[in-house]
Amino acid sequence: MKVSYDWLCDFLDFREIGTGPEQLATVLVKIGFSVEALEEIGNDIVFDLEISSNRPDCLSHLGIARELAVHYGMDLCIPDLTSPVGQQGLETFSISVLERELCPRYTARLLQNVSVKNTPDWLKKRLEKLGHRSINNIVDITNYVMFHIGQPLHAFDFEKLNSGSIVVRRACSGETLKTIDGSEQELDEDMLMICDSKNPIAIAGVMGGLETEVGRGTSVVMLESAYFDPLQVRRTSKKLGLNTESSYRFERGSDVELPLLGLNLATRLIRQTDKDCQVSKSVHDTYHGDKKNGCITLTANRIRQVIGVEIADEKVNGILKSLGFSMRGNQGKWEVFSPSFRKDVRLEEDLIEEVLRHYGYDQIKSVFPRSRAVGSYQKHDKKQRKIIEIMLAQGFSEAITHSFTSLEKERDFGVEETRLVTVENPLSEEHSLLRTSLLPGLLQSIRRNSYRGNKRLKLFEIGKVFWLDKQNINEETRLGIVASGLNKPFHWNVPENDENFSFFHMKGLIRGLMEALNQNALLENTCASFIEEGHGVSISLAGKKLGIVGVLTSHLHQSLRLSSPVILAELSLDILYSKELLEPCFLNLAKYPFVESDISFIIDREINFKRILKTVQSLDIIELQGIDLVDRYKGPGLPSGKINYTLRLTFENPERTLTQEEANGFSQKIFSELVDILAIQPRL
Amino acid sequence: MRSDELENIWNKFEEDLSKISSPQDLIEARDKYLSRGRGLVSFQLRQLGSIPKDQRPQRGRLLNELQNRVSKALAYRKEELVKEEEAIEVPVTRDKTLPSIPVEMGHIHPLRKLAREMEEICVGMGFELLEGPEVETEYYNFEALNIPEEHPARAEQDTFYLPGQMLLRTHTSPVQIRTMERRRPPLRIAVPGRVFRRDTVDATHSPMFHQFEALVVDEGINFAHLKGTLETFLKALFSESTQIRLRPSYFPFVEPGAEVDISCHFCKGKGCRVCKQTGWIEVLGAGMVHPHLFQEVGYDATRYTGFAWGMGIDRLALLKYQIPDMRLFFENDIRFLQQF
Repeated sequence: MKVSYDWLCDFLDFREIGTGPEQLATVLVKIGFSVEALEEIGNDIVFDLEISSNRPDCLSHLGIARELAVHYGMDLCIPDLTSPVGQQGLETFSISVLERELCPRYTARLLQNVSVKNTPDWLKKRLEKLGHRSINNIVDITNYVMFHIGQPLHAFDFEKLNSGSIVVRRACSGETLKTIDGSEQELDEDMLMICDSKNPIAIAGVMGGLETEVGRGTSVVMLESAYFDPLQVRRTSKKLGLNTESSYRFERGSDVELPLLGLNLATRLIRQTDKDCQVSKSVHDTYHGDKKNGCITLTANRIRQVIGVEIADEKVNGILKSLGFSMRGNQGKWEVFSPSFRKDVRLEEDLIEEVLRHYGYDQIKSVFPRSRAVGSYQKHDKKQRKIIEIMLAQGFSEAITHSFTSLEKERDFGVEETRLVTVENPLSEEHSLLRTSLLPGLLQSIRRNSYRGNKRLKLFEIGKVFWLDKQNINEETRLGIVASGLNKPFHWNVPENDENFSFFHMKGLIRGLMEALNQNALLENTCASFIEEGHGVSISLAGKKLGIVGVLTSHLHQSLRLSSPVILAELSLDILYSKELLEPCFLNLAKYPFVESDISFIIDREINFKRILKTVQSLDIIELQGIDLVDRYKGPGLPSGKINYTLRLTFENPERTLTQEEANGFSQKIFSELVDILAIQPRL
Repeated sequence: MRSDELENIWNKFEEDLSKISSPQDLIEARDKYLSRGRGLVSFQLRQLGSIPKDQRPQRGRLLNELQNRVSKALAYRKEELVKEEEAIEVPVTRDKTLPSIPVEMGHIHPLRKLAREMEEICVGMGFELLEGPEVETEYYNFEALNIPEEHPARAEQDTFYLPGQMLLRTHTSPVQIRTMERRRPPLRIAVPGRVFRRDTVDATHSPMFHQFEALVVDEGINFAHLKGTLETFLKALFSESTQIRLRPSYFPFVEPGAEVDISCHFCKGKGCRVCKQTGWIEVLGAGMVHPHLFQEVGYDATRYTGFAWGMGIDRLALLKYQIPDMRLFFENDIRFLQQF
C-alpha cells in the first residue's frame, strides 16, 4: 500500500520534529510494516508498505499515523469528523437493509446542487502520488477519504435511481449489472447488491454501476458509507474477478465505527470544494450496534513468560493506550478492551505482540535455551546416507524432478490409470497428476541433458511417488537410477574405459546396495512396457516386490538422441530400510594361501550362467572358495549355438596349503560334473 | 706364469660379466673368480709360492690388481642390477605432465546439500529430525494451524487439491501438529520436506519447493530463546559475523510473529543488488507458537510455551550459492549438478 510522507504529516508533524522519510522508513520496519520501496515524487517521498492481512486498520494514512504516533509518543492531529450542519427540506429517500448480517451498518446522505468539475490541485496530486488518476471532484473525494482514514465510500447520481430508495439485498438469479469499468457482470443469489427500487446499482463493497456513476451532468449526489461483511465481499469479488481498493479493505474487515465518520469527512470536503452545494440535514444510519469486543485479561507475568523480559507496567499501559485500547487495572494485571478497529486482537498473546512491537523486538537480548535434549537423525538416515555414498562413489549425481506428471508420461510407462492421483486444480496439463514412478521424470532429465550435448549421464533420485488404492492416496519413497554412455570418462591411456554403462553394471550396483544394507535380494526375469524385452529383472525381498532393473525399450529410447542404451532401475526404499544394518563382526583370515585352477569349456548358449554356478556348487566341495568368470567368448571358431566360458576356481584349506595337483583334481571333478549335467565339451 | 694368462682370466671374466643378468648370476660369477677355494683369481694367488722368488712381487701386484678390478666390476654390476630391477616399475613414459586418469565422484543435489547443513546444525543444537507426509488433510495443513476456512491464507488458488478432500501440503508445519499430538513436551524438532503451492513458475517461484521447519516447546521457553537459537543457527549457516534482525510480522500460527533478516554477506551491510540496497536479506519467518495450536493438541498453554521457525530451502540456496534461477534445480543439467 502506498503512503505519502507529506500526507502523513497531516496527522503528525514530522517535519516539526525533524524526522525525515528515511527515518520514518526505519521506524515503520521496526514496528512491523515492511517498506518495499521508496519513491521520490516532487518534494515528497512515497512509501510502498506491506500491510499484513490482519491489520486492515492500517490501510490508510490515519492508521499508519496512529502507529507512528505511539512510537514517537506524539498526539495525532485528527481532522474534523463531526457531522456538518445540513439544510432541511431537501429530497428524502429511504434505506432498506434486507441482509442485516451482511451489512450491519449503512450510512448515507444527500447533496444537492452539486457541481461536478475538476478536482482541486492539492487533492489531485495526492491521489496521483498513490497511483490513482483523477476522475472528478466527487469521485476523487470519496477515494481521498478512503486513503485518508480508511473508509471506502461510493457516490451515486441520485437522479438516475428508480425512485428515491435504496435496498441492500442479495441479487436475484438472472440479474446483471454493468459496472463502472464497462464490463457486464452476471450476478448470483449469493452476492450482496446495492439496489434502487428495481435494479442493482452497485456491487456492495466492490464496485459501482456505470449508469448511476457521478459524472459531469450530475447535480444530486447520494454518498454511501457502509460496513459490509468481509467474507461476503471476498467471495463476490473473487467470483467476479473484481479487485478494487474498496473490496480490498472490506474483505479484511474494516471498522464498523468508521462509516459515519467517513461520511462526515466526505461531506465536509465536498462542501469545502463546492461552496454552492446543499447538504441535506438528515443522515441515514441503519446501525444496530456492534458485538462488543470482549475483555481480555493481560498480566505482567504472562508477558514475561512469553517474551522473557520484564517490561515496566507504565510502558505496557502507555503502549496499549496509545494504540487505542482501554485499560482497567494496575500492578501487573489489566482488563483490556480492544477498539472497534482492532478485530485482530482477541487473545492475551495478541496484546503481548502489540506491546513487544512497540517496545522493540530488537530490545530483547537473545538467550540460548539450555536443554538436556540430544539431537538425532531419522531412523533411516544412516541407511540413506550409505546409499547416497555408494551412488556418489560410482559417479552418479543426484537429480530432483517434479512430483507432478502428465497422463502421457504415465501411459508410456504402462501405469494403470485407476492408480493415478489427479490434481483437481493443476497449473497445466503437463502437471495434472502425481507421479507413480521416478523414472519418467529422470528420463525427461536425460532427454534435456542429451539435447544440450551432455551424452554421458549417471543420475539418481530419492523422492516420493504416489498412487491411488481404493480411494486412499498412498505415498512411498523410492530410489530411481538412470545411466547411459561410457561408464568411466574416456582416457588416453586406459582402453578399457571405452565401455558403456550396461545392464551388468546396474546389476552390480544394485547388488552392492543390497549388500551394504544387509539385504538378500532375489533377482528374477521380468518384463515391463518400458523395458526392452528380455532385458528386465525384478528385485524382491522376502517375497515382497522391491523394484526393477532393465534396459529402456527402444521405442522410448528414440526421442533421446543418445547412441548408447539407457539402463534404469527403481527400488522402494521404505521396504529396503526395514532390515537393520549389521555391526561388523570379525571372521578369521585364511592362514594358508589359496590355489587357483582354471577350466575352460563350451556349452549350449541356452543354458544360463546361474545353472552352471548351481551345478558347480551342488558338488559341495568345501575347499571351493570362489568361482569367477574370467572369459566369455561367443566369437568365430566355435560350433554354432555354443559359447565358451573360462572359469577360475579358487580352492583353500584352513589346515594346510593345497597343492596345485590337488586343486586341479577338484576342478577336474567339477568339469566332469558339468559334462554329466550340462553336457559341456572341452574347447578344441 | 706369464702375464697373458692373467689377460685370459680378465677376458673370460668380461665375457661372463656381460652375461650377468640376475643376482644369482652375480653370486655364481663371484664364486667363479673370487671364491677362496675355487676362484680363478684366488687360485692364482695361492700359486704364488710356486713361482721364482724374484718374480713374486710383480706377480703378486698384478694378481692383486686383477682381484680388485674383478671385485669392483662385480660391485658396479650389482648396483646396475638393482637399478634395473627397480627400473622395471617405471611406467611407459616419464612425462608426468600428461593428464591424470580422472576419479569421478558424483554430487548430491545442491538442495540436499543445504538441507544437510541445516540438519547438522540443528542436530548439534539438540534437535530431533523428523519428516511427514506430502499428501495431507485440510485439518493438519490449515485448521489445526489456526488457519480457519475464511482465512485469506486459504485462498483456493494457492493450494493443490487432491481427491478425497486431501491436498498437497503447502508448508511443513503440519508435522508440528502431528508430532505434538503423539508426544508431550519437551520437544525440539526439525523438519525438512517438500511442499507445494499453486504459484506460476518463474526465476524465484516453483509449484514445488522445499522447506525446513523447527519447533521447540517446553516450560520456560520465550522470545529471547527464539532469538538466541536463531542467532546460533544462522551464524553457523552463514558466518560468525552474520547479524540477525527480527521484524514484527504476521503468521496465523505464531503470536508474536516475526520475519528474520540476516546482514547481507555480499556487501557487508552497505547495500547492493542482492539485498536491494537495504543491507538485509529476509531468510525466514518465526514466532511464538499460537495458543490455539496447543489447544488443538491438548497442551496446557499456561504451562508450556514454544517457538517455531520456517524457511524456504530453495530460496536460500539461490542466495547462498548465487544461483540466478530456481528452475535450474529441477532441470538437472549435469553441468549444473556437478558444480556443488
